Amino acid sequence: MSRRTLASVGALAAVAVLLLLAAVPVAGQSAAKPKTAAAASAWTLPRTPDGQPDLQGIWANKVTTPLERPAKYAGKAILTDEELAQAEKDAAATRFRDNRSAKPGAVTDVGRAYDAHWFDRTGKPIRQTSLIVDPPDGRIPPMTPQGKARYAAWAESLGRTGSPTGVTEGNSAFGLDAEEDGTVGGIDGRGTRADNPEDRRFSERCLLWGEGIPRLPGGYNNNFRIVQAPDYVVIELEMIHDARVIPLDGRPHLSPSIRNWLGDSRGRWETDTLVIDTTNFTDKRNFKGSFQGMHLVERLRRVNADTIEYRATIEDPTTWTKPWTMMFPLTNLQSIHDTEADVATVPQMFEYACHEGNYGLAGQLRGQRAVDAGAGGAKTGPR
Amino acid sequence: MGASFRLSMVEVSVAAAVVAFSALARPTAGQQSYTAPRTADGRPNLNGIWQAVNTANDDLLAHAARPALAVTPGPLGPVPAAPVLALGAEGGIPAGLSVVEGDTIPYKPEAIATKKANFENSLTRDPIIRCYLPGIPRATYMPHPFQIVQGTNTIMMMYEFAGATRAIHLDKVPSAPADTWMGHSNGRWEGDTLVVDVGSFTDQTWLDRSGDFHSDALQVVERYTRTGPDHLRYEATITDPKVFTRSWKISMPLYRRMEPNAQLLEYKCVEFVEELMYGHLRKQPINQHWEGDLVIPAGTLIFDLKRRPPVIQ
Repeated sequence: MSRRTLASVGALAAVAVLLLLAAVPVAGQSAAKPKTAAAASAWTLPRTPDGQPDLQGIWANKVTTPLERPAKYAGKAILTDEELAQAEKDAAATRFRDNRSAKPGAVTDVGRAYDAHWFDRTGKPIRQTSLIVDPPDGRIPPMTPQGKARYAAWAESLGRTGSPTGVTEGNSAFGLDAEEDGTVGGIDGRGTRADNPEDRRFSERCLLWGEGIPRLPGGYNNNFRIVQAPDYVVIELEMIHDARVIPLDGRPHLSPSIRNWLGDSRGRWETDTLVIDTTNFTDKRNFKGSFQGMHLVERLRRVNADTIEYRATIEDPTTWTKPWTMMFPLTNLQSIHDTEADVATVPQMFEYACHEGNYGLAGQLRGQRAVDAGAGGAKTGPR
Repeated sequence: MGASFRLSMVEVSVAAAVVAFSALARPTAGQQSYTAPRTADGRPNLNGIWQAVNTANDDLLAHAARPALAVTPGPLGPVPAAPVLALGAEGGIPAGLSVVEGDTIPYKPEAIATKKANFENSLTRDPIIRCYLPGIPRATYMPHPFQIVQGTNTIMMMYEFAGATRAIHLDKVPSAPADTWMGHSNGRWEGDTLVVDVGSFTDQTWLDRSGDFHSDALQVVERYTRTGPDHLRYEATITDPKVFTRSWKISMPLYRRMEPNAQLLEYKCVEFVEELMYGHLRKQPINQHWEGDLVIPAGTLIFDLKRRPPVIQ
């Protein structure tokens, strides 16, 4: 992800300013204001004027829990209070540590210096040991031989090495080492070539954040704006200003000739749960190795004033032996903000004009051309 | 065309002296008699997929047809320049009526040279060419649809071009702490009209591809009014004391996309401009030579492409 590769320096500088502005009041807040039991039980699901469950607002999935269950938690799906407290400490320590030390002098040294300064400091682990709740082992199911071959061909075409589950864009931004990401080599030490702009990751090209949707928790700006009208739900992702406009009128999916970076979404209410069915993904992107065959079903259910329970089931029989499901909370930004603070800190989403300030992509390519020409040597980062 | 243009000027005029006359004119009378359908919470319902059908994106002012976006002098006036030559008739810019009240953009004297230079270099300088966010008001009249989704406290506008988005806050959210391409929008209802105050702009967007520009002092006041089952009237008052001597106003109808399955589609043009913006940084350049047989009488068109890297300070 771009935090290690210094993509989009201009955009990131803007983000840094916003993070600083946004983070100050949050840092003083330990957590959501405690609610009394009476207040909690008095909560009723709010409705829009036309009677739909009201999901509107700005929500964040700033969760540090990894997508897949770490080996140390094998056989354990839910953390005890003590383990959760320890996991919170570990997450904080990981985020704030000096990341430069892994390979002093290596090209990754520069990328790894992209440290806590950049990050959303309010992310925390949840009680689950993995975002994946099905299969029960908390791991992505095995890939089919066809899926493996397809992914290998795609990775090879971009000069990348590593495994699809290792390509954890948007997943491990809260503190895995580059080595743990599974990809190696290349100018950034993460297996990414810089022969062409197409070699670079989607987020560095300002096309998608991480691998698009489902949008996994990442290092910063994990924000979503939901706006509802009778026949449409809009879910706007702060990163790359991607807005998903989701019809609720029962219309069929687009023609299979139309393939999208964000797919084609159709929504419906199943009692009080918003179910979003997404197909028509383009082969230009993939999510953990699933290309245009990916079928995504998301379920959003508001469980209290501050929380939407988000579930995403991903199905692609050409890629995995069975479907898999992840679950995490979306937290209302208002609830983790001091509403009595300065009016300038009212939670809101800001414009992420990524492409417009993307000096990083040109810098990466220009840097590699300079290295190709013998200038600087491999130790020189792509500044 | 001249006669109909003068008529449209009268129609958009708000001068008190012509109100009585305008009230007799067909469009104004129609606007006043139409009552917009309501949302569940009683607001005028602006939901839908809308599109401008005009040439405002080419040029806000009245303009005759032009041969191309980039031209070079010819014996009887400009001819298409090399980079757009192969586009032929498809590369021409159609004539259009003015959408500007009074058909004048009141540039300060020192801003006129910038506008002129922008116009002459629009192929290389128009931010739209690079798939940059189009800004407001230009997003409204790009030749692409946009969608309004009207929530309780927030009205979303999603634009097909570049996947641009904006949230219009009905609950008076304070302006963004940094300048923005699409502006910061607070909205309110004045009768049946949605009025949107837009500010916090960068100075990077243009108002059309003819080089009409603004500074970071730009303030736009937009007005959206239903004038029929399938029409909106759009007005935008543009104020920028660094560039213009006074506020000025554009207006146009917006049309509902009527296809029963109308849908905003994905146009992530960032991908499409990578070759233009970064092609010179490829390990192996792709675009170096092109030949196209244009058949009789044109013969074969041959381009040899060379690129010079930018000078980085």
